Amino acid sequence: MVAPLAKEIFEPETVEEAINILHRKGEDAAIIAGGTDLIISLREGVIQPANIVDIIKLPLNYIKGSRAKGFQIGATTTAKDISTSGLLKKELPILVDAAIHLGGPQTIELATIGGNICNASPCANFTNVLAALDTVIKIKGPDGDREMMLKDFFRGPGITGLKRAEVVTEIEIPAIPGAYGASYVKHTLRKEMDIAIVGAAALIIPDANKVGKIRVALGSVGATVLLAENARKILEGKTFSSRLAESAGKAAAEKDASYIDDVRASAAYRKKITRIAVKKAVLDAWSMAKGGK
Amino acid sequence: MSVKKYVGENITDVRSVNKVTGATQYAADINLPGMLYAVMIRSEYAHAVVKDIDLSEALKVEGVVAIVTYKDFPELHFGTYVHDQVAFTEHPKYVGDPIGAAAAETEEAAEKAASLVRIKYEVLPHILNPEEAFKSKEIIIHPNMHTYKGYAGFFNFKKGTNIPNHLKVRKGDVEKGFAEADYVVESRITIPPIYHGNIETHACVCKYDPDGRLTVQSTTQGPFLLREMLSTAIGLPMNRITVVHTAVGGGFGGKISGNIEIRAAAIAQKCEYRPVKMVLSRREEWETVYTRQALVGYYKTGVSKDGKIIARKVTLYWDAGAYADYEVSVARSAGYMSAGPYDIPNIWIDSYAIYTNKLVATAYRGFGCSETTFCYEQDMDIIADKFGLDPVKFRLKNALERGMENATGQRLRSCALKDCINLVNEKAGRETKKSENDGIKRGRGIAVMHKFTVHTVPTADIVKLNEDGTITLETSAVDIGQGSNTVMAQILADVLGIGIDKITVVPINTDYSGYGWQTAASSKTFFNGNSTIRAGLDLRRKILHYGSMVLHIPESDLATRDGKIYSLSDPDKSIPFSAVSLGVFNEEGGQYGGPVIGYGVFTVEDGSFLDTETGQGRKPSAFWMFAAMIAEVEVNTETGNIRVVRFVSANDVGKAINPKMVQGQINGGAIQGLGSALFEEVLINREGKVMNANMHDYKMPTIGDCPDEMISIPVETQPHPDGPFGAKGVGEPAMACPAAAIANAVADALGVRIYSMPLTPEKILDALEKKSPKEVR
Amino acid sequence: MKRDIKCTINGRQRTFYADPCASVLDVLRDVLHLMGTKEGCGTGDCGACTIIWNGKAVNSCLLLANRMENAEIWTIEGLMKDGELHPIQQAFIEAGATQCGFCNPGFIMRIKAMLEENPDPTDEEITQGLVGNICRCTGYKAIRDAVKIAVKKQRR
Repeated sequence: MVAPLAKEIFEPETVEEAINILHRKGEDAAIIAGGTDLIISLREGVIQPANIVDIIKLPLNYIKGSRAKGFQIGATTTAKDISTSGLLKKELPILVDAAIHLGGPQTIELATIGGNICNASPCANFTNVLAALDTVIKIKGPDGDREMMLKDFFRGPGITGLKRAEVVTEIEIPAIPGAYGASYVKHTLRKEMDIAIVGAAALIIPDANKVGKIRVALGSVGATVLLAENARKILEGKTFSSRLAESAGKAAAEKDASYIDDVRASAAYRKKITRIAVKKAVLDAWSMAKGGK
Repeated sequence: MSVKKYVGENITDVRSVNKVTGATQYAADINLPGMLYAVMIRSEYAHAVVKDIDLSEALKVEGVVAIVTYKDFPELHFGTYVHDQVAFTEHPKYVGDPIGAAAAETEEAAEKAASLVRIKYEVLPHILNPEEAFKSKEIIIHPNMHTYKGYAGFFNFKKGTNIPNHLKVRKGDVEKGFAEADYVVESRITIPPIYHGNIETHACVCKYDPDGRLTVQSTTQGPFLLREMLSTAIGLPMNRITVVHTAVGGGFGGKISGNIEIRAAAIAQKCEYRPVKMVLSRREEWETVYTRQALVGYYKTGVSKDGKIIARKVTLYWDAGAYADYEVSVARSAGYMSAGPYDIPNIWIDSYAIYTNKLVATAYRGFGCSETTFCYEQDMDIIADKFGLDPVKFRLKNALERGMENATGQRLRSCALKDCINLVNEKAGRETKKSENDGIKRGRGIAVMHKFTVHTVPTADIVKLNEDGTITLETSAVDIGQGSNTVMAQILADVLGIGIDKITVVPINTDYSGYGWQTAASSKTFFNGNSTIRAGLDLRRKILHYGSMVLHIPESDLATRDGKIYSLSDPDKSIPFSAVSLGVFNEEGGQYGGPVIGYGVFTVEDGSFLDTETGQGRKPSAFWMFAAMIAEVEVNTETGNIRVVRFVSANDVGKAINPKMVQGQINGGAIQGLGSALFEEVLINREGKVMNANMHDYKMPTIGDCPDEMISIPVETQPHPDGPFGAKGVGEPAMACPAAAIANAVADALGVRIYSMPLTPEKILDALEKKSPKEVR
Repeated sequence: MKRDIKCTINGRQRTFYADPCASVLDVLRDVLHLMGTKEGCGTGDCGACTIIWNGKAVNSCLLLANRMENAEIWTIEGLMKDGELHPIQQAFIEAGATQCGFCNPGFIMRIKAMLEENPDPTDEEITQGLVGNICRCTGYKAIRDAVKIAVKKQRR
């Protein structure tokens, strides 16, 4: 029999209770939501906390709002809930797309949007897409409530800006009024069941034939998910063309992203793919914004 | 009168009900009273000498029963073909080489104890590249190689090198051939190690009795080989060792040799006669156990203007890893099939097994034929292209056929290669559908192959007639999922004339089953099929003899059908098999004969070894198998991703005893081959440590990576005269063609050649850039 | 710390003493001796340990046993009813989807959950539904066939 993965598990039913336990246990506690990343880390001994705080009983499983007013998604909402949400399918399909390709069906059943973010992987699907949507993270902790922009939430691989005993409770996606386009390109080796070699998410709010608001977020090409500012500058306020999308891809690949060789791909290949993925994400987002999708 | 026949029918897997209900017992499912758990203590370095080992902290762990190291055992060498291993080593030769083991009441305690063993090493320089190891004089991984015992023909070593085997084939005059050739093509091939990918990891349970008997239950493809290895490694006579194989959750060659069983049995000696279980985690399995061998190979082929191959020279450096295990045999056999299934007058082959400080390479579905096919079949397309020949016609022109001699001088008695080529060509149709998307290029490629089996591995099967007339077959074939239990039951049912539901096939227990080497070399249908036929005939002869006495009808007028012995001339006169199951009783109560057992053996009586200097031999393989495949791919020229959209396969099986199971082998091999072609590679860093020992970074195909269409055709045009009902084999050939066919399809689509597996998107993009730098935006 | 855990397994109410910090897979196998659920990877990549938990097919290696409390769990052992194989089990046999058999329980549980959600999946939906289960033997063709046979059987 494999050893238990921790000494004690707590199952708070309110956020306050969870914060109290986390405060009491300090560094020696880890939060579990879906568990699809955490349990692997526990089993591999990457982390060895004595205490686990299971937050599944917290009332944080909800999808609320609308595109016109913004969305509020509870932190323990699963990828399955998101992938089958009629509201999101209609109003924010990019998030549904991120959910569907997050992993195998068994993982999608359990994995939560909050967990995907708090795992702080630079490859994470939700994180990548949410970064392009100017997402705000709602946090509760012993010192009260606070908010952070998702793009500022990460400090490095596996490291977040959460302070001791803080819990992410909600993901807020600001309103996206009017016509818009959003697209997520996840480049993998296998067709499914794979971690992104490069991820690119783009959000465009057009201004007639010009690119109004634009966000490009990149995954797997840096220590954290990042916003491609150079790509944004190239696109913002310009009359859209496929050549412009191509320039944005080039800028993202050459200036925004940083690369390392790892077991999944070389830095050189990631760079090539970043250019293509950003270009495709931008083209698809524009096409959607213009009613193509 | 119609009699149900089973051979040739799609009989469902005789053990399938247990499989689909979760009732099948695999080794890790065994729990025995008083059972302990053992874990290995493994080397952290690729090459080192252990200077000091401190167990004091480890022994303090609560629940620890025993910790053993190399110090506790006599240095008994063992191995599959070369006795180059010891159970626990003082001189670790790869990262993960077992130095000792710990056993405890719980797995947790055993793991903790193992982690607290303090080892001081003297780290030695290591070598990971087989070509460097081939030349090295400084780093010799097995300095005592010349003292090892090994099997003749498989252990042809050079003292003071890292080369435990060298196979030579010398046929005709290869230099003269090249001089006469109008075109010569040369290529270099590199292939990384890959995993077998059995979903069930290695697991076993070992137990000693106070009287010195050892029982091992294990997920093994070769209980008899395992018993032999245990006997050598532990120093116990075979009659004191019982090996029983559990259900095997995937083998593919990775469960052929004894490995964890040797170590678990060693520590079980110190465990108070309690059962000791060892189960590898996925990580441990992939960091430390087995891979398919890496290969660096060189090919040179000379062709005449009229499209005849007239000379081929091959040099193959097979990376055995730290121990020879099966690699000496792979180097031998892959060597002698490496010229391909073609009629070539001048052949020169050097095939070397080479030690490196990597984890051990072992047998893997195909024994090197997927790798060599990957090379020579790409060369075939290059040549065809050069001469403007159709790749299919060019292959047909050079293909071997029945009656011809192959590279080692063996005359082929069954060879349907040309039928296979014509069939796949016909089924695939003429036209390739063009993709609508500009960035996606479509291509088609063909590959053909041949594969030897073995000849020196006799099998014995035992058939028992039970008192109620049912039959128990004590097979010596291990069914690892390929379906040999079903196939043997089909064969036996037809031989005996009894319903298949009356036959039970029981797994090997080395105490009472007949000898059977192991499930390897696509040999089971042929070898065990034959010995099962003979065992069935032996039993049938006995029951007809007894039946004749009971029925008072001469044996010549008797036959069997539907579990009955009946008169040919008067079919109404019959008795059930059960009437003679214990022999014949007379009216006074006297008895003639006795319980009926049939016994059958099969050997290749006219087999022959290869000449060590020329590689020539009359019959080194009981039969040869052939196959052809066409693959169609779509390549994304922007990302380099390849998608296989279609496989059409034809396999020369002689006779499909169970066509659906044959197709199951072809389909399974095709997708395993697809994985090796596109995704799979064991990544080993400079220190010799595996970097991707998990199932997300080592990527096996999912259902999402399969082609939309898979056509798999068993070809039965050339039944083998010695095969059971004409059957040969299929398991390994199924995996030989995909990588080569995919590479040829990619070349067709893009005009670039990639001679290294896997064909990653990165290699595709690099090749495209080299081809036309200007086109790259 | 071990404690009593109460849940329904394969239609029967069970109470057992187990560590809530152990994985459900380990508890099923080592505490409840339900050995039909297999471990292939321990990282949620192969699907061999798939069970149905509160109606969802999940990898039991990535679920802690505290989530068994009051849950309704189905494992491969619970599929046979009155000595009859479940239609998916029958379909696996007919399609020849059993080679080594090790992945079968996980596949069958995943397919059961999939068909409960979507009784007549398209080819693409079958693919999407089964990408979380690895089979090394069959090349997936027979498994796809089995799904189609099961769909027909269940429709009857």
